[in-house]
Amino acid sequence: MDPIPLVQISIAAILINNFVLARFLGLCPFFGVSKRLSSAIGMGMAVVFVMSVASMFTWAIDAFVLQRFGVQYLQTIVFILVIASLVQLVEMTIQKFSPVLYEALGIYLPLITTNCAILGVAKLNTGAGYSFVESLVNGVTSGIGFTLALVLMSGIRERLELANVPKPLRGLPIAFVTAGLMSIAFLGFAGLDFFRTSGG
Amino acid sequence: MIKDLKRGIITENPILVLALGLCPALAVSTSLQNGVGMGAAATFVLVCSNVIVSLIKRFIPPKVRIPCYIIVIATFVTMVELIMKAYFPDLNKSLGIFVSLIVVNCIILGRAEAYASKNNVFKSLIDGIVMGLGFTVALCTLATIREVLGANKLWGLNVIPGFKPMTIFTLAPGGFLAIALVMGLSNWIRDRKKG
Amino acid sequence: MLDIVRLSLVLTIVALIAGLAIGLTYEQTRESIAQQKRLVQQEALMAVFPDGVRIEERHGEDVLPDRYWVAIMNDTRVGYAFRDSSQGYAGLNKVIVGVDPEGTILGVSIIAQAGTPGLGQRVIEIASKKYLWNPLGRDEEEKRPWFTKQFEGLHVDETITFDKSAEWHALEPEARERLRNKNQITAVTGSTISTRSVIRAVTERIPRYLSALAAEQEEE
Repeated sequence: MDPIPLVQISIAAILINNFVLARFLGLCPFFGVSKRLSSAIGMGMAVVFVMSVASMFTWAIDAFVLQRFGVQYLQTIVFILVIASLVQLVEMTIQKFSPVLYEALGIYLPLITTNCAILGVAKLNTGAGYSFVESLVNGVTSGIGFTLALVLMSGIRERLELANVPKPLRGLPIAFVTAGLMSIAFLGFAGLDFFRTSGG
Repeated sequence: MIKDLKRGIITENPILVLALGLCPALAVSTSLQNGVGMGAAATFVLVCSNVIVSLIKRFIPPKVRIPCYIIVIATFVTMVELIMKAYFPDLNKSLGIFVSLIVVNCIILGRAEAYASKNNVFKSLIDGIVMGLGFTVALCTLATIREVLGANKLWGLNVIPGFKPMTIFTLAPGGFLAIALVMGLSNWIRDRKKG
Repeated sequence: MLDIVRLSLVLTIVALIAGLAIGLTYEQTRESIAQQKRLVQQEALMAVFPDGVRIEERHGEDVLPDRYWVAIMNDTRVGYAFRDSSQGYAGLNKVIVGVDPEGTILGVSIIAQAGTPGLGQRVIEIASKKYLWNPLGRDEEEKRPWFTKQFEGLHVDETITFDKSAEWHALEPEARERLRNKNQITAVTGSTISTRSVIRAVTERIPRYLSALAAEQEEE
C-alpha cells in the first residue's frame, strides 16, 4: 500500500478541507455541543469512532451490494439506515462492555444519527472512488478534523462567556463570528496543497 | 393561516431562531439560484414527509417510530435526487452532495417528531409549508447577501458597476459571518420592538 | 416475542412501500437521466471540436482509454477528444479535452465538477456583462465558460502554469495573447485547488495518448 496518498488524504481531511470549517458538515453538533470543553471532547471521540465504523461499512455495502446489483440510486436510503443501525449497535455494545466509555460517550451517540458529517463522509468516500483503506483513513481523519475544530471552538466559547459581547450578538451570533474567524485561519492551510502540479 | 406564516418565517424561523438545518443553509447559500433550488427541494421533502407521517402515525408502534420516519424522509429525498438529475441537471451539479444530505436535515426529522406525529394531516401540511417557506426565506436572505457582496452578482447578473467583490463572502468564512450578521440584526430588531 | 414480530412487520411494510415508491420514480426518471448524460457528452464534444467536423467514437487498447473520439474533416484526422478526470476539492473533476494531433488544445469542457457550491463551481461560470436592472440587455460575451476557454491554443505536452493576479474574462485581448504565449492560464480567485485539478486532468495523460496514436498512424 502506497502511504503517500493516505498522508495526502489525512492532511486534506484534518486541515485543508476541515469538515466543519471548510465543508460545512456537522454544524449542528458543532454549535450545540461546543459550550464546554469536556463535552466537546466526548462528542469528538464519539464522532471519530462512528465515522470510522460507518466508513468501513458503507464502503463494503456500496462495493458488494449496491454496485454489484446496479442499484446505486438507493444509496441515500441504504446509507442512512446503515448509519442509524450502526449507531444503535455501537451504543448497545459500549453499554455492555465498557460502562466507563458509555458514561463518557453515551449521551452523544443518539445525536450522531442526524449528524450530516457521517452521511457526508460516506457519500464523499464513494463519490471520490476511494478504496477500502482510503475510505477508512478518510473516515478517521475527517473525524479528527471535526474534533479539532470542536475542541478549539469550545475553548474559545468558554472564554467568550466572560467577555462583554453586544447584546444582540450574544449566544449563537458571536459563535458564528468566531467560527468565521477560525475558518479564515484554516483557509491558510490551503497553501499545504499536496496536489501541486505546476505554477502558482 | 397568516399567523402560521408569521410563525414559520419570523418567530420560529428554523434557521435564524431555532438554528436547525445550518449545514445546507451555509454551504449552499453562495448564490441565490442555489438558495431557491435547495429551499424548494427541502420544502418538498418537508411537506411530503409531514403529511405521510401524520397519516401513518396511528399504525406505527412508538418503539420503531424514528426508523420509520427516517425511511419516509429518505424515500422522498431519493425521489428529489432522481427528479433533479433528470430534469434539473445543472442545479444538481451545483448542489452536489447537499441534495442527499437533506435526509439528515434536522428540521425535517424535527418537524416529523415534534409536530406531524401529534397533529392531523391538514395541520401538518400547513406546518410543512410554513416551515419550508421559513427555511427558504432565510436561505435566500443569506444567499443574496453572499452573492452580492462576494461576487457582485445576483441570479448570475452583475449588480453594481465597478464594485470589487469581497471574495471572502463566497468562501467558507463568509457563510459564518453572513449568518452572524443576519441573526444579530434580527435579534436587535426583536429587542427594540420589545422595549 | 410477539412485540418483536410486530415491530419487524411494521418496519418491513414501511420499507417495502418506500422501496416501491423509489423504484417507480427510478423507472420514470431513468430515461431522462440517461438522456441528460448523453446530451452533456454530446454538447461537450461539440464544444471541444471546431464546427463542421465528423465525430467518430473509437475504442482504445493498451495505453489508450476505452473510449475516445476522432474528429475527421476531408478524410484527415484533425483532432482527438479524451475524457479524463482528477481529484478536485470534494471529488472528481471530469473533463473532455479536444486536441489536434500536434498537441494543441482545441477546447476543454468540464462535464462534472467537484467544488463546493459557489467556489469551485466557478470553473463552469459564464462571464456575463449583463446587469440586474437590464436583464434583457444584449450579452455580447459568448456562451462558453471563460475558465475553460482560456485553454484553447495551449499545448498539452508543455507544463501549463497559472497566474493568480487577475481573471481571464476581465483581461484585454493583448494580455490574453501574452498568457497564451507563456502557456499560461488565470486561476479562479479562491479556488486554487480546482484550478490545479483541471490543469492536471487536461495535461496528465493526454500527451501519452497522443504519442500512442501517432505511433499507430505510422504503422498504418
